[in-house]
Amino acid sequence: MTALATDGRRRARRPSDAIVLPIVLLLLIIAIGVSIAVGPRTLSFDELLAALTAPTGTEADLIVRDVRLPRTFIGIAAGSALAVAGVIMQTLTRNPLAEPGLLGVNAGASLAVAVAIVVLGVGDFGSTMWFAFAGAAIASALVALIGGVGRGASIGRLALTGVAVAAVLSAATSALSLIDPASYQQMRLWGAGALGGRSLEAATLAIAVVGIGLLLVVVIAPGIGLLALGEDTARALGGRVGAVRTGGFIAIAVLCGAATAAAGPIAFVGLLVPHALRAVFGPDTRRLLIYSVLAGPLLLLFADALGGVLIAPRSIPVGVMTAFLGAPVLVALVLSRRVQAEGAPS
Amino acid sequence: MIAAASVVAAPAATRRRRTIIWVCSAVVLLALGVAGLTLGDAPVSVSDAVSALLGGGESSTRLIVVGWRLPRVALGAVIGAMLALSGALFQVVTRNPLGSPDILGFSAGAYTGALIVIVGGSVGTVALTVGAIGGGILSAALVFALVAWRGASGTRLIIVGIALTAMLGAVNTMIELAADDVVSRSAAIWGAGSLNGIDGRWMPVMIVTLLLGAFAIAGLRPALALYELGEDRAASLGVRPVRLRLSAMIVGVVLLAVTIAAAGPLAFIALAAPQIARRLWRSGPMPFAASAMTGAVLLVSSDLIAMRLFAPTMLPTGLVTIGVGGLYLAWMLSGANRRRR
Amino acid sequence: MRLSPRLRAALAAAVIVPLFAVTACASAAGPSGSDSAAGDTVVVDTVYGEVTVPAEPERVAAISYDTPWQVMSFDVPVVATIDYTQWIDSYTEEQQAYVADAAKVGSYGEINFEALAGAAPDIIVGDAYEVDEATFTRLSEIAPTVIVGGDERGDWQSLTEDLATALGVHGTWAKAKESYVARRDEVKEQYADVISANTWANFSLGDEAGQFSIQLPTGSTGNLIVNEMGLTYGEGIPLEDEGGFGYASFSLEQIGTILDGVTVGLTFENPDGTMMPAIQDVIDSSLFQQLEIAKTGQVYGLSTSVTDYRSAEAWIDELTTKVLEPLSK
Repeated sequence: MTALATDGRRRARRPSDAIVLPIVLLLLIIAIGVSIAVGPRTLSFDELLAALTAPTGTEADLIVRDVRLPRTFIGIAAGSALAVAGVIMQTLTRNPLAEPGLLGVNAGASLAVAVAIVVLGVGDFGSTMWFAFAGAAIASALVALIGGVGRGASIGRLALTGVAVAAVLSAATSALSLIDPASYQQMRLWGAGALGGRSLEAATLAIAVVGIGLLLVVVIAPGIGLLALGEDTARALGGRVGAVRTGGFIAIAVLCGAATAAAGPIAFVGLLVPHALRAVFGPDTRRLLIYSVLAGPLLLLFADALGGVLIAPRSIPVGVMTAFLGAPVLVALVLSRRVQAEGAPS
Repeated sequence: MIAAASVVAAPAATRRRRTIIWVCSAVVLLALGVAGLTLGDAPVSVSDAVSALLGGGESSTRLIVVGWRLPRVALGAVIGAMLALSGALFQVVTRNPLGSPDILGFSAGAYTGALIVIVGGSVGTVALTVGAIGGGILSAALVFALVAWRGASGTRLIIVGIALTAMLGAVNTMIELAADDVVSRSAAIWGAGSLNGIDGRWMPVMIVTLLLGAFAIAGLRPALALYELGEDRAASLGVRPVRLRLSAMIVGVVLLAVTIAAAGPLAFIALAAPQIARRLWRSGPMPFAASAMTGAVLLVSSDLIAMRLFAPTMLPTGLVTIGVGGLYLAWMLSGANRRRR
Repeated sequence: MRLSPRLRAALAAAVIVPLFAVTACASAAGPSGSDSAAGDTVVVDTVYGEVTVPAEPERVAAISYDTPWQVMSFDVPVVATIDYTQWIDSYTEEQQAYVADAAKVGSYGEINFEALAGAAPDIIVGDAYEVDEATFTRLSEIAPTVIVGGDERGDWQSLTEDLATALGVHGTWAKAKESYVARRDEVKEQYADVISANTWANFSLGDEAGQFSIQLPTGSTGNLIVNEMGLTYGEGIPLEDEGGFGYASFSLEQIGTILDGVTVGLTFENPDGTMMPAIQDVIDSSLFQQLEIAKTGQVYGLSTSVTDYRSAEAWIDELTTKVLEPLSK
């Protein structure tokens, strides 16, 4: 059943890429620039320039290279991963509210990482990432199985299944950290989402892995666009539905796994970005995917900056900021006439 | 008042079945109570426990059994019943089996209210209760206002609730982070939702609230049974839907908020207990008394698990209820899923 | 069921009210758990009011995080402590031996009252930071409970004095203090040159990855360093302690400014000589490595944790052996 019903009004003409793309790119560049240029320690423009172009090992160079760049890279990686994963999930489940945080996918990745740290003593980013993939995949499968996807599924039930699965998985993660206080310290603030604390190597690895996930998305993108028209239509037009679903599932696992392993579980990005873009472009899946790659990092870097400023000198974890920003949007979404929510599940 | 009970009186077989279920659950509750009184790091035999209850036996045993374990078990049963009643009320009013206050965000709101009180420096019984009730009522009002503005469809309500829970969760984290050392520590300990160390001083408040709530529900019950038949039908039979919803919600929020003030948030009991009771009852309007009994059994057993699973480490009770309740919710949703196909 | 709703509610009340009565009687009867103590008693002032305790307690339960070591410094044995098993390696052999036979009565912040009652203490001691009034009331049901608190987060001086008074060992405490003061003044005089010639800082792991912390003079370590030993903290170190935590956490970005001019860096080490991974991460970070103290190698880890006068004196001894002595050559 179509989740996004057209409302029959005269459709406004969608703005062209020639206008929107430069704007988004510009905003993103500004956000990246701010993320690199602004921090607890003020650096002059010359110092920044030198750090980026001709680093010689001065303190400013080290600050930029080892603290700010990794933070920015992680923000870019997690932001685009989560936003794109959101678009794919919404298309595959035909549910406008599907996103990695709400549907427990990130909670699954989180639990897997916690198991790796607490039970197996694994600590470095590269290794925990594999656990995160597995966790994300298992959680997605679980939610899909229980909540029901595709034909006949109610939007509300899927959302609720996600809430239930996420609740159980995060309870398990909490229990693990309570049993082992030594790792509790390690997991405490990561559990709310944080962009900092990674080395440049880890951050670059995160970007690389997300890049691979995005490559996969590029391959299945046409198929996803077809699926958005409806399963029968897609099949009639020659789309290979099964392959696209599988590819999408793998992409989600890789993207959400990498994002969660790098930055902790962050919710609402996969909801905020696609819907903001939909308000501009309508249900144009191809454009949604492309712009999500740019707009996701924009949102995350902005939320991170805001969180660092609001209760200075302490900082609010980025996951808390996205929840704070995303919840009203969710409400607006579900109450708007554009979303036809179905009746209550029996 | 229309005697709805006689109109929808159940046939004899059903009544027999329900009586058996009542007896069985009473037995189960009693067994759980005995387990709660005898199990623990200082094992107490059943006979010692009984004599302690009657005032005899060693004073140290009396302290453990009567001073600590009895309040914990008793409060567990009472709180479980209150949570179940609150859940039942909301599920009837929203006509949605998933319309539970912890999903709709009222628990988070009550928690925020109590948190603000803690940050303000007070941890007294009255202050916490007032804060929790205030927070709960405000969040309920917010949710219902938002939904009334656009039309109260079941799914919309749930999702607005999910959003509110997420937002208030974020707000709570922000408050805890911005607080100073001592406050954030008290908040963290209390916020896990636990019956460990729960003080007997809450007993009078809880009993009174439960009794008042039970009487209120008894009074609303006929109208609620008609309300379940549908809004128009009910209106034509003399029920005033808006007033009924309002009264039911206030009772529901107060029941919930008081439990949160005493023990912190204990998720999913309000959701699962009424549904389990409905399944046991199989037909008829929402069974409030049965829900209360189910809630009591659920919470006391969750608490026992929390206490003994990893003994001597004690888990917060709220953690166990989330795990158990979440599993139940998932099972329930999958059942609904399968039935549809 | 054919019973009307009101009758059903009345039946429920008939079950609940006796339950209420029993529990109310229980709370009234509660606090007479312990048998009347044979022997003398003494009234002491605690954070939660006056408490009557045995004059010479024999079975002491020390239920807060630092309390056992403080009791250890009075040469008094303990019968019950919280469970340190999971991080026992961060304690010295003497400490490990001290708690080896004590009953484990809970974990940090979560006391297992039944296990504590089973240990049959005749006095319970703890820290106001960890024990709130409700917990105090419950503990009092088991045995006379003395909860002490310092003026600030790191104030173990007045805390240990109150503790010693409650345990009837004020003389031991006074002697330890005397010994500490003498040693402190001796070291300050002997190494006055080294002390004044250097600028100091005590750092540690931060609240999150990518941060480090500075121990402020309001905390126990910072107080020893700055106030007691007179070691001057670097000028870049902000000394306000808004939240009362005893330390402040900063981003690694700021380490250059904050530790500017510092010539000797002190931090924490485990008793077996290893460094905590999070602290090692701070030290290994490139921003730390370009500090003067990293280049000159003047980073010292001290393993003595300071909770009372004896451990404070031990800390001074460690400081002397590891830092002041080599620096004075």
